This record gives sequence, structure tokens and C-alpha cells, in this order.
Amino acid sequence: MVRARVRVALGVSLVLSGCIAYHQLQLPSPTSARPVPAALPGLRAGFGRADITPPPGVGLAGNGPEGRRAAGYRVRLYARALLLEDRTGERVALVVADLAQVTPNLHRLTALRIRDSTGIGADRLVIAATHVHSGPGHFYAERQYNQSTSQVVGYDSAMVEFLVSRLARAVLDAQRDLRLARVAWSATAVWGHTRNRSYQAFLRNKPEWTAPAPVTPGLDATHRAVNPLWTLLRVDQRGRGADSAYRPAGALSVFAVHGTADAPENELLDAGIHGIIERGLERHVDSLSRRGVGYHLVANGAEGDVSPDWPAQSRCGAPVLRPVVGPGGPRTPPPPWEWRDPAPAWMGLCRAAARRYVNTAGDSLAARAAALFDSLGPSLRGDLRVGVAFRTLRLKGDPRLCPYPEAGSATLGGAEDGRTRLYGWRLFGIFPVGLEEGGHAVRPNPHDCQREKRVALGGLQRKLVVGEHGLPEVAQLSVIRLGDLLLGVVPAEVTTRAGAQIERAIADSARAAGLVPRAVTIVGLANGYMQYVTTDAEYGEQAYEGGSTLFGPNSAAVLTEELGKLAASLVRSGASPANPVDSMFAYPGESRAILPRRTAGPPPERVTRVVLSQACAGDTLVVRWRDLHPGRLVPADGPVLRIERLVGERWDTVTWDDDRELEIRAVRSLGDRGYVWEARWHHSARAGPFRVVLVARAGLAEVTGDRVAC
Amino acid sequence: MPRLRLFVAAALLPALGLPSPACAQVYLGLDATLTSPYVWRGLTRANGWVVQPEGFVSLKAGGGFLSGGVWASYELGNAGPNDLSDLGTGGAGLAELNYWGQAAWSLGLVQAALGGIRYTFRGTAPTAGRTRADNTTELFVNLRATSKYIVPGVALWLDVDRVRGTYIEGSVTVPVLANPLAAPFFVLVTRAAVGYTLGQDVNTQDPSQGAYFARAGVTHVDFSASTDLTLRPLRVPTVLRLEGHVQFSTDDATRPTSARPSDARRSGKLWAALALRLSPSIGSW
Repeated sequence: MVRARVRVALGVSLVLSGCIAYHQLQLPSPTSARPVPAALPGLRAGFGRADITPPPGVGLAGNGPEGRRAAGYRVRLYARALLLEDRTGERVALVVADLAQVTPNLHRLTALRIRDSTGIGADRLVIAATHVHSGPGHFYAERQYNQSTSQVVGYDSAMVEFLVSRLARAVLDAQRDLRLARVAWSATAVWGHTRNRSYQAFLRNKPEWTAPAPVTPGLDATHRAVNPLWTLLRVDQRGRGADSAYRPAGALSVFAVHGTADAPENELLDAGIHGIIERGLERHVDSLSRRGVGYHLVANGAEGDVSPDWPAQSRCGAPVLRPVVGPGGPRTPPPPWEWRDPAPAWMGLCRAAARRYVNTAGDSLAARAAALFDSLGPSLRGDLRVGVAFRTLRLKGDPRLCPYPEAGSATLGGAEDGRTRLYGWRLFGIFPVGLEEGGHAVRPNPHDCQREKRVALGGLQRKLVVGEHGLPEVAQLSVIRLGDLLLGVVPAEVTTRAGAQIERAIADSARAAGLVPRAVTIVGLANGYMQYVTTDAEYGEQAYEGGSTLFGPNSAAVLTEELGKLAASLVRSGASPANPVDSMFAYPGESRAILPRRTAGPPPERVTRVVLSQACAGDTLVVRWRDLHPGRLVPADGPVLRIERLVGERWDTVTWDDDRELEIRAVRSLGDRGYVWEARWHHSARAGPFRVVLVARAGLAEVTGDRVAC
Repeated sequence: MPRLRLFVAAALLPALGLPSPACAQVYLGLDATLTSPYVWRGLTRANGWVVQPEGFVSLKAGGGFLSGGVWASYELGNAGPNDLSDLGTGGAGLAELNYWGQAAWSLGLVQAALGGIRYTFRGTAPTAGRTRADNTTELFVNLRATSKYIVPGVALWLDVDRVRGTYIEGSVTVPVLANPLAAPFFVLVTRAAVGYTLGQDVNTQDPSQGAYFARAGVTHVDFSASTDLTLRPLRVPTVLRLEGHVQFSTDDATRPTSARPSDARRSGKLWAALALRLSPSIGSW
């Protein structure tokens, strides 16, 4: 009895003191092996790729309360890896994943998984996110992100394992693919596809912006207020065995653009505009090499305030809180209010508009990448020098920064790309509470470290919502040398001007230490996530990015200083300096089952896979079939279906379930009989007859549907 | 007979959780409100604890709802001589039964409901409470506009039986807070309402005609705050609602807070209610 009372008293006191439970996980600190020169002299490169498309049912991370639960998938998500080793044995593994963010736990656990096979530890591993807003969440190292990046709330250790195993597989495949290689890199200006979404904050910077490349005439001011440089490293590999020719193999691109081209209301797992760009160049490489698969890693740059140039009709509008008409009568307690989405017809139109934009803009950018790739042919060389400088910076407690991370009220309303339902909310409809960009999100009398930031919920944010360790406290930083190209790797979304400031500092430090880099470029959203970093001047505007600069206005200056130091140490060492990998913790919250499990529903031997219906609706082929439950059916395991077209007497494959025009949805459970799935394929350019083939999978034979005339 | 009831209940219970996205749906509604005091149109009808269960059936078709149901008011405590009660002094039990029908639908930003309600009373005390002689019928129409913040509304109640007059209530509702992540959904709503009688007051030319209020005009002003918490245990949408009211009374009939003479001229009153509501879909086609 006394013990029970003590428990109750403890519980009450915890609640009253605002304590929020966190679960501390020690992350591994694998360091790289000492470089050993390879038997074959010269640069070696290898590529790898792993499918990371989870089953439907997970939350789509990136749009906060507007992030939906995934109903299915469209363009599959991948992790692509490039492993480079120079003639001295210096190695670096670069991975780009179709995810909204990459977290320290993914980075460290992947490093641990590959360390023994590759000699690459956390210091030589870069995992960057494309920042697509239609990938899964639930893997974050910080509790608050697991709670708020989509409508599906929570951390799932199974999601971490799912992603880490595949990230590691991509790197290990790249290790197996290591071959003599020749590389070349260059940068070109790509104007007109991106614009600055926080232009007022951008204008606060002094001196005024000087574009790094001549501006295309006719662009308006917001389209000029971006870094347009597309940096591309081309890699050609030597063939295996008797095939000694060097042929195109793949590329690493860095370009600053938010992964927000899809509508925030999108309900499908999808690699988005980056997925189209990746595949566009990969097909081009395939056609050049004729060796099989090409690889294109598209990392993000200083994209904090850079949006794709999405059309206005591609944003559906956030739900609005309204009273509803419901069942009941005059004496019934009224039905509660609801968040009401815009009309379904409107949602369909704006999702379609967003898809059209994703496809056309993606194709256009892929064509620019292909042109740049081709232009590098004559410059290919096999003597690239590789080096890495790495450090773990403890943000919390750094005297140059605010003592702990806090989000501003501007963050809660969302950025222009995807306003949340809270944007513009006023108390009683009259009194502004700062849920906007600028305006009342700016504190009129700055008096503490967060200065102009109106902290969302004030002191209650930390006590009642975020809790201890709920937001990031550590940043893993690195500078990568690829010949005379330096990459500044940051776990953040830095704005255009903050990125330029960091790039300049890296270049100056390198120069002072004896290396004259031809270019420096930021690789953002890598090895962790500390949200945004603006310049001090931009911070004063308290746009979305300023509100999301968690450690205050000095954040950019601190990153600038630290990356400058890393660049200097990298150059002075001649190769790579000693890179200690400090210990880290993750505080993700309690794990719960969100990723559908492999035990979901009946086992394969009890499910009769069958095509239930096939029909043509206009230029769309709609197929429904019975299959395993999501979880037992994991898209990442391999193709699920293909569609064939009758040409003469032969059935030719025209597509499979990794197509921008093919949507796969998990429709409904049939209990012990399986699960109904649906495919919708838009076949505008092709005439039937068609048939669908359910691909053979573990324990399930191939199933062919009847022919259907469209 | 009890076995038959048990069988019917057992047959209906599994249907409570069926999701039914279809063009027409039938809902079974069950709700209960616990309130003290029981205040209706600004009038304190009972100053003790009252529980008010209700059952109804609704048909959803074409974006609107057609509903019919029964509502009851059950006084939990024995009223003393200083208490207000619909049953009168000395009793506890069923005081009022209402039968109602309503059609409600949404027209863009305007929501409308119209219907009729039959009030029947079970009081038997000769000197207090409401008896069969007070039974009456009203027709009503309720309109409200929806916008991002402010929801203005007006409700008209026309008595076509014993009282022969209209009661009008104008209101403004403003949401203050809501969970942006919809599960569990909660919302805090504030509301200001003003009551106005146009014939439901004493008819000096025909004193035999029933009346609720002492004189024509504004009867009271009510400010309330309510929270709704929506949960889905066993997939049944369940709403827990807590509301608190502050009322400023302007009519002699709305002023009393008890039967004590000292409470007869109060200009304000406080009251609160707790309600639980389930309205699962039980069928569709």
C-alpha cells in the first residue's frame, strides 16, 4: 500500500514537474581502419543500391501534422552508395537515401554494420537525405521528431533496423563493386527551377547577394535569390576481367532544392522530384555504358530556404477546424468539431497538378544533369585524392550557442511549401499568437539567447512538450576532399546565405592551409538533423527557417567556424587527420509497432494470390488482387507486379511497380484470406491489350491475370 | 423475455464497430449527460444532479442526416422544499421525456437543421414541478455559418401547442485550441449565447396560456467553454464532453437558482455538465 502511494506520488510529481519519459540508447562509435594502399594503383570506385520502400501503413515524414499515413507507394525509395578509394587507401562512403532526414542513430548503426567489411567507420561514412517529404518516419534519434513529423506518431526500432540493414547493404554492394575508376567533376548553373521561399529574411543579409553564376535573363527576384550551382561528380569504371574499357557508371550530384514538390497531402510513399532526377540520369548512364545499371546519387545542398518552383494549384490547403453536421437531434450533445480537409475533388486535382510538376521538373533537371555528365567525358582522370575530416560537436552546452534547443512559433505554422493547419491561428480568432512567418512570431523585446524568436508555448515547450533530450543536442560535421572539390557536410538545412558563408570559410581555411579548392559545396541533411540554420540577419525575421534554428542566431557562425577548422586540419594532414568518433546517445522515446510486421496476417501458404478485377477507366488501368498483408509483403523485398502488353504474339513487359505513372495501394484486409491491393496505371501513350503479372515471391508462385483491352 | 433482450443486445453489439463507407448509413446513437443544476433556456429546472440519457437512430444520405430519438431527464436526488425540480418535492426519478425528429444538412459554409420536439412531463406534485398539463410541442430551425474562427448561429423554437410563442437563441462559437494530430482528438470551444423570447413569456391577455418567461425580450446571456475528447475504443467513436457555463439572467424566470426566496433574484449562475456520446454506424448500403 505504501509502495503504491509512493508510486502515485512519484507519478504526480513527475507530471507536475513536467518530466517526459525518454529512452536513452548508447550509439556505437566505430572508427575507420588505417588506410592501406590497394594492390591496384589508382583510384577505385564502387556503387551500390538498396530498396528502402517500407510497406504501407507508416507515417510520411516531413509535413508535420499534415503528413499522412502511407496508403501505398509510387516511385520506390532507394539508398544509393558511392565508395571511393584513392591510391593511398584513403576511403570515403557517400550514401544518399530517399528520406526526409538522416539521423545520428541511422548513421552510427550503419557505420557499425559496415566497419569490419569495409574499414569505414562513422568518420568516413556520409549518409545524406534527399529530403523527400514522402518517405517514412519513426526512426528519429530524438523523441520530438518521432512525435511530430507526421500524423502517425511514434518511434519504432523495427524501422531503424529496416533502414540500417538496407543502408549497410548499399555500402557493402558498393564495396563489392570497387573497381579502377576515372572521375571528373564540374558545376553548372541551373536557374529557374528553384526560388527563395523566405525572401524577406534573405534581403536582411548584408552585403547584398551576388549570384555565383550569371543569371538567366527574365527571372524574378525570388528565383535569383538561390544558389543555382549543380555540382556533379562523374564516375566511369573499368570493366571486369577482360573488359578493360572505362565506361560510365554513375554520378554524385549536389543541388539545393527542397524535396517538397509533391503536395503535402500526398498519401503515397514516393521518391518525389529527386527520384525522377535519379532515374533520369541512371537511364542515360545505362544507355551509354550498356553494362546494366547506372547510379545517380542526388544529395541536397544549402536548401534551407530554397523551394522547387511548384505551381500554386499543387497545394491543396490544410484542414480547417469546423463544426460538423452529424447524427443526433436537438437535445443531443453536439458532435465535436473536426479538422476538415478540402473537398475530395479539389484534393484530387491538386495532387495531380503536383505530380505533373514533379514529373516535368524532374525530367528537365535530369536532362540538365545528363548534359553536365556528358560534358565531363574529356576531363576524366584516375588520380583523385580523397580525404576526410570529421568531428562530433556538442551543441547543448556550447557557450557560443543557446543552452538548449527551442523551436519558434513560426515553425508550428509550417513553411510556404506546406502550411500546417495551425498557420495563422489566432486566439478567439482575434489575438495573434505568432503562428505565422515574421509578424507576431518576432519577439518585440529580445532579452535572452533566442533573441527575436518567440518560442512556441514559451517555457512550457521544454517542460511539457519536448522534455529533456527531446530535440537534437549533437551535430556530426565533416569536410570531404574529392580532389580539388571540398564538400562541407552538415546535419542541417542551411539557408542559401548561411551555406555561402560556410562554403567561403571552408575555402578560406583550405587556402590558408595550402590547398586551393576549385569549389566548395554544402551537403546538407547528412549524418544527423538539427533542423535549420539561418544567418544571424535572417534569424531576426523569424520566418519558418529562423523559427526552426533551434540553438539561436549564432548557429551559422558556430558551424562556419567549426567547418573552417575541419577544412584546415584536412589540408594540413595531407590526407585525413585523426578523426575521433565521440560517444553519442539517442533519445527516441519508447518503441512501438508502427512498421507493419512480417507476422501480419496469414502466412503465404494460406493465401491464394489471385487477380480479383481488371478494368480500364479512361486511360487508367485499374487492377485489384489478393495478396499478403502489408508487412509480409514488403515492397523493398523486390518487384510485386509487372504489366505486360501484347505485341503480335508476344507479351512484352511495359512497366513494373517502380513507375511514376503506377500507383500501388493496400486497400483492405480480408482477414485470414489475405489483403486486397490495387494498382492504378496511367497508360496514355500505349494501347493494349494488357495483362498484369504478380511476380513470384518467397512462398508464392507467379500469377498472371486475364488480358484486358484498354 | 430477458433472454430475448439479451439475444438482441448480443446481436447488435458486434455491429457497433463496423466501418461503413457507403452512400447511405444508419447510426445508432447513445448518449448521457450528467448535469447540475439542470438549466434549460436560462431557467433552472432542477438544482440537484440530473442525468439525461438519450437514444436515437440517424440515417445519413446525400450529405444530410435524418434522425429520430427519445431523450429523458432523470432527477437523481429527492428535491426538498427549497429545491427546484420538475418532479416536485419529495421525489426522484424520471421527470421528462422528449420525442424528437430532425433533418440536418450542410450547404457549403452554412449548416441547417429543422425538426419538431414533443415535451412530456412526469411530475405529479400538485404545487410544484411539471405535470402532463405542461406537455407541449415545438418546431425548430437551427442555422449556423462556419468559418475558420467564428461560427455564428441562430436557433428559432416555435411552440405550436401550449405556450404558443417563439424562443430565439443567437450564438457565437469560437474554437480556442485543438489537437493538430487528430488522435486522440480534443478541442476547446468557447461560446456566447443570448436568449430572446417572442411570445413564450406570460400572456397577460390570456393567463391560461403556458409561459416560460416573465416578460418579452432578452432572457439571459450565457458564456460557456466546452472540451470534447474523441476516442475510439473498440473502433466506436466515443466523445467525452465537459462544459461549464456562466449565465447572466435578465428575466425574473431565469433568475432563481433554488426555491429559496433569497435565491429568487440572482443575476448570475454557474453550471456544468459532463456528457458521453457514442454514435457508431450500424449499417450501410
